[in-house]
Amino acid sequence: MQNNTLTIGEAITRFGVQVDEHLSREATIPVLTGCQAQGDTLILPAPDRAPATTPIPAMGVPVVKGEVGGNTHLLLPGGFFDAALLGQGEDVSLVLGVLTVPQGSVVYQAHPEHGFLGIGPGNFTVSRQREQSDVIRLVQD
Amino acid sequence: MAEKITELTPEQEAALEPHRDMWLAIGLSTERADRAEAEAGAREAYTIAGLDQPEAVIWLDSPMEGAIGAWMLASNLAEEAAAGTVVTDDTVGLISNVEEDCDERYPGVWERVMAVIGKGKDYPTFSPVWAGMTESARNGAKSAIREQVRSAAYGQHDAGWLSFNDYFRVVVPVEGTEKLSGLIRVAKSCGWWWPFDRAIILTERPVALHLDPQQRLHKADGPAIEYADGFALYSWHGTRVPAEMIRGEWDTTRILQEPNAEIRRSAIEKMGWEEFVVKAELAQVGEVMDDPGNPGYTITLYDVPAVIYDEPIRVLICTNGTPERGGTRRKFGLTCPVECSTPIEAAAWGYDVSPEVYATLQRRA
Repeated sequence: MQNNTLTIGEAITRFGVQVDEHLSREATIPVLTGCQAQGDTLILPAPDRAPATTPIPAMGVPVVKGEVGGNTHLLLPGGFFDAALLGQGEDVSLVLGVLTVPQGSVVYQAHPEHGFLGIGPGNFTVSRQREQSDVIRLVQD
Repeated sequence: MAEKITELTPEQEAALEPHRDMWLAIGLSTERADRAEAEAGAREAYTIAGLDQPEAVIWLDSPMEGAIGAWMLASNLAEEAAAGTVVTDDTVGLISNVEEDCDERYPGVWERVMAVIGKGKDYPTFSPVWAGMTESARNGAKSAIREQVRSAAYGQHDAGWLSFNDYFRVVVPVEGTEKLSGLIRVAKSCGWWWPFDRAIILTERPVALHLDPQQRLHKADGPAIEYADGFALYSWHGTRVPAEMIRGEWDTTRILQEPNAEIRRSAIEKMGWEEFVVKAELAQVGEVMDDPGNPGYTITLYDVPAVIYDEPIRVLICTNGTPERGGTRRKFGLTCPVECSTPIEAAAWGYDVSPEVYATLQRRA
């Protein structure tokens, strides 16, 4: 694949997903291979994990679904994502799955309010966020 | 003796999810009632129960109106015709504690319910009823109305237990469940209802219902459930809260006076932690630190004493990595255990990573 540095406007055109109007269409999306956060999700390098083998489909993978279809963190095609089995109650795992971005590719993660993350080649875990309540619970952003 | 069912066939297994989704939709419906179908279902329930058909069918707009109307009928019909529900049940309702709202709603809805129920005067059986309606009865009504809440059939809000039985009625089927067909028709068609010997009160579904992504009743700026007569319930992520709190009328003093910890937490979340830490003068913990991946912004940790959350915790105040409409950056609070002693430790705990790893964050959008 070619050099994948995109602006927000180009990413909207390429993937057919929308983000909030006030996010500048000219802004370039940084493509990074380190640790990145988007709202309540964290992309963390995980070189020791077995690479994911499930191709991200054309319509993307919603890693965290938001209210009535909005505010979804959506992984867009260009790599592989294996969803993790989520625990229950006290054993709840924050890891949503493993993301693998092949050499020469970029995977973008879209969110209506946060725009796009650009994720360069490598192996990553995608996690969500927790907070302390009477019980530890997952953040709803 | 019926054969014991030990496992479901693949077809029956496949029917589970659609069946669940159908009943979820019934329980959460805000469509107007199918009045003809609801009445027919109620009459079928009477027939199945071996009861005579009721003479009057009364429609009201909400469970509150229904409970008041039921009290009117129950208290005045008691001597002439025993009042009671056709089927008692241990239901799982979506609405709880409706009775508490009687205090607030009771004066306002009285006239309206009276006007509707009053049409019952046209039915010969009820003519003596209205003569006995006095001011003293009215004063004694509050606790009696609570009784009516307990004696209601919950219509669409019987979805919990009816969905289970309906599965065994329609999909398997199991003998005996066919007796529920009348109740199920009503549940699919309207809201709460009260079956009496000679009358039925049926009520409308809500006109609006709001949930959070975890399917809990929630609306940040208005009622989570609203009925056509104005009866409404306010809820913050599943915690039922006073209307004044949702309207943003609670200050810090009022929040801290709230005896119920769940409501207190909800009120703080509604106000926003960033505002609450300042107004409640919470003590800062450790230094203010740079926010990794969010250049130009800092993160600060505060102590949240046990009086606020029932156990000591801490809260991290952060600034959003992405601007809002208009270019401002929204601040927000993330709660964490007291074991977090620096802002970085708190932020790292939120994602279950080490502070060293969190410090490498390249971008926080």
